[in-house]
Amino acid sequence: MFPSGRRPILALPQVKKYYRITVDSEQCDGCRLCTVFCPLNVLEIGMETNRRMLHYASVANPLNCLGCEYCERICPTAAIFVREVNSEQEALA
Amino acid sequence: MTQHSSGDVNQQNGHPLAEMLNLNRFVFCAGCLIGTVITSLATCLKDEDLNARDYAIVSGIGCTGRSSGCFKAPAFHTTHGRAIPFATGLKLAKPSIKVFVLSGDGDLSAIGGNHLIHAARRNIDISVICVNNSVYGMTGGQAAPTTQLGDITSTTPYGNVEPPFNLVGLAAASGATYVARWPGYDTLRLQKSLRKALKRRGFSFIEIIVPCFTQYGRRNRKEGAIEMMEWLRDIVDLRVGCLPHEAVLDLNSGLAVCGEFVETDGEGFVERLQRLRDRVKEKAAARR
Amino acid sequence: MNNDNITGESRRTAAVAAAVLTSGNHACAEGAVAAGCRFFGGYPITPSSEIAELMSKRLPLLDGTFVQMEDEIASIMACLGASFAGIKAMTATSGPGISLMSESIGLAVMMEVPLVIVTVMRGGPSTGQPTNASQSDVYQVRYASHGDYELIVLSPGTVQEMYELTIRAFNLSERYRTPVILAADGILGQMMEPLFLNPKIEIEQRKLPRVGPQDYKPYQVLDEDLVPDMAIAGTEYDFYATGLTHDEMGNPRMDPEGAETLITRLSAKIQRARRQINDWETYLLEDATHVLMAYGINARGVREAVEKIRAEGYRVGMVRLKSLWPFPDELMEQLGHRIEKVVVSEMNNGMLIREVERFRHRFSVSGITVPTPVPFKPSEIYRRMIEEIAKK
Repeated sequence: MFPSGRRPILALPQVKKYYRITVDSEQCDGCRLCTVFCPLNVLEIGMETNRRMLHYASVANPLNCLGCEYCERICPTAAIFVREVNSEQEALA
Repeated sequence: MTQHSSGDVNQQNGHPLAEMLNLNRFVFCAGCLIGTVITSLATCLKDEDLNARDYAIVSGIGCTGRSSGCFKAPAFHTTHGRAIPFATGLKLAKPSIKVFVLSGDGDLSAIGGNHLIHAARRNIDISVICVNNSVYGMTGGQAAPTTQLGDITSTTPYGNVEPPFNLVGLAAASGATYVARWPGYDTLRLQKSLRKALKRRGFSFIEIIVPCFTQYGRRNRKEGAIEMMEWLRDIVDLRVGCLPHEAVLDLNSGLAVCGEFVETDGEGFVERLQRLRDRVKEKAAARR
Repeated sequence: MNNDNITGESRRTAAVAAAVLTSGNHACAEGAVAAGCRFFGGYPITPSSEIAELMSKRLPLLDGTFVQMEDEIASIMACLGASFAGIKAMTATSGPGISLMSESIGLAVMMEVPLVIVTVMRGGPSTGQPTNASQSDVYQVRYASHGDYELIVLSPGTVQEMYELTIRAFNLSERYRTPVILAADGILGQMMEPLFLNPKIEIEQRKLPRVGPQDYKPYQVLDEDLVPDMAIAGTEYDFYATGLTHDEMGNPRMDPEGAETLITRLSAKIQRARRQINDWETYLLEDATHVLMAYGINARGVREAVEKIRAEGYRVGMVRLKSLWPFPDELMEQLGHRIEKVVVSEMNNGMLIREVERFRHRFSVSGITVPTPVPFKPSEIYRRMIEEIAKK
């Protein structure tokens, strides 16, 4: 389990956390910073375009998200944010 | 730069910062980290529970100059280079407000250079966030005092022959009591620094490296937002305890020294003026 | 002049008891303090430095702020910031300083900021004659900044008026949310006369927002006077003040309509109020056929000359302008009915006379204009005026 071979006395249960990522498609301008910063390929730039004819970010693999919020922090237009939710269904919504 | 100043300032999209920001006023090129600086500052302000009553943003002219309008606060888009004296008057008249100057390198160090050094000298209690994109972006990519030697810009078509400023050294030498430099993508350290600046007294100067990939990058280094950001990441060298005049920012040889360079505590200008008033009034009362 | 001997006597005694012998510059500073000015951002320049010096002494005692900034541009910008924080602000300079401040004056107009700028005119152009007076900045004070705008400029002629018109300047700037320039000159600034400090003065304040922060629009016009309510920084109000052309929400507007609407309103705001703004004094005008027009320090000698010419039997009257801009067209139109000729006397190469010449269809216009640092001697005015009357 651990590289040194030692095991903890108290094993904490592994809890799977779910996160919902919301992208404001009109506010997003498709700069790709969030997709590049995301460590787990959660985001991609989709085929759809918004009113300004720009391709915007969308969530490709929501269950990969570990809630690091890098995308939310780096986004220059406050178009994306991450919220912890309680279930898989809410994450996929 | 896109003109996206349409729509309602009260546009809400559920984003945690939506109540702090006017989302329809983000007019920057797609991927420009000026927006990131804005959201980082907004995050810090929100975390400290500051709202329109508690702070004001003053900016000059240029790409970064458009940033003040992005805040739901008293926001002032003043003339080129004059954000700092405006902020000085605002702060002295109402010391209860936290005043931020959010402006560009050309605005603050070329035309506004004199005001920068005197504000630092006075140790006026404002935080100056200088977004350094190495060029005059808004007007088409002319050379700025931070443009590197040899760079091609629209007014140096044969290569720039003026050495650039070390803004960190300039601010520190003029008397700033908190001086730091960060790359634009390092939001965690930037936020930590901003939080420090907004809590402390005296003059704070935070330079943020946000090379312009549109006007500057396509003529010199990297043409896209991602390419520029990744290249910047390679040349940034975070140091602790580096002296201000040794804070090298050389995009040619590829070294951008970042970190905190000055952090001293001392009486700010507001406090000093108040002491003067108290002393003068006491003397006058004693005479009567 | 009061003809009632008993009350006149006591009134005069009471007034004398409250008089101070002081200089024009000091009177101006006293007027500012009386009007509620609690912020002065300044830079020394002859012949106005005394205003800054007096403010540096008075303001700390009144919990105000005096700060000597690094240059004139910083001075006026600091005053703009202070005004947005709700504090009445003033700066004082001379011709070269106004040149430096030009861009900022435009910003004050665009952002609609109450502000008083005192210029104690001196010899120009360029460094000129710092310790001498002139009236050669008449157009500069009006047109310093680029762009299409109106500006209020007041012209004091006595030390008492340095006090009173400074107060008036503050009131006008608060009422119309605009910068106001007080154009004095080097002689008036330095000379000493009795100043009667008036205990009862009316002070006006800017209009504060009448709606809550959610509904407040920084440049929305809700009244006939075209002046928007002004939110102060440090209250719950958020607002965007920009030098770009903007709409009522403060959003920058780069379309033709955006420019037309805003510029038209900013100019109309002042133009509509001409009758309340314009101020002049007449002397022996009721039956006059010829009028001498002057302003500032020069008007004093002109008045004496008028008396002398009247003594010769000529029907000469006088107008002393106490506000230079907006130029009092109404006054010109009033004069048109019975006046044959207006002679303008000013200490410059002929500036305000060009405004008067716009009314050449009503009366002839002539000038006694020399770019001189000293006011015309009454004898000189007398001699020239007699010539002008003879000339037809």
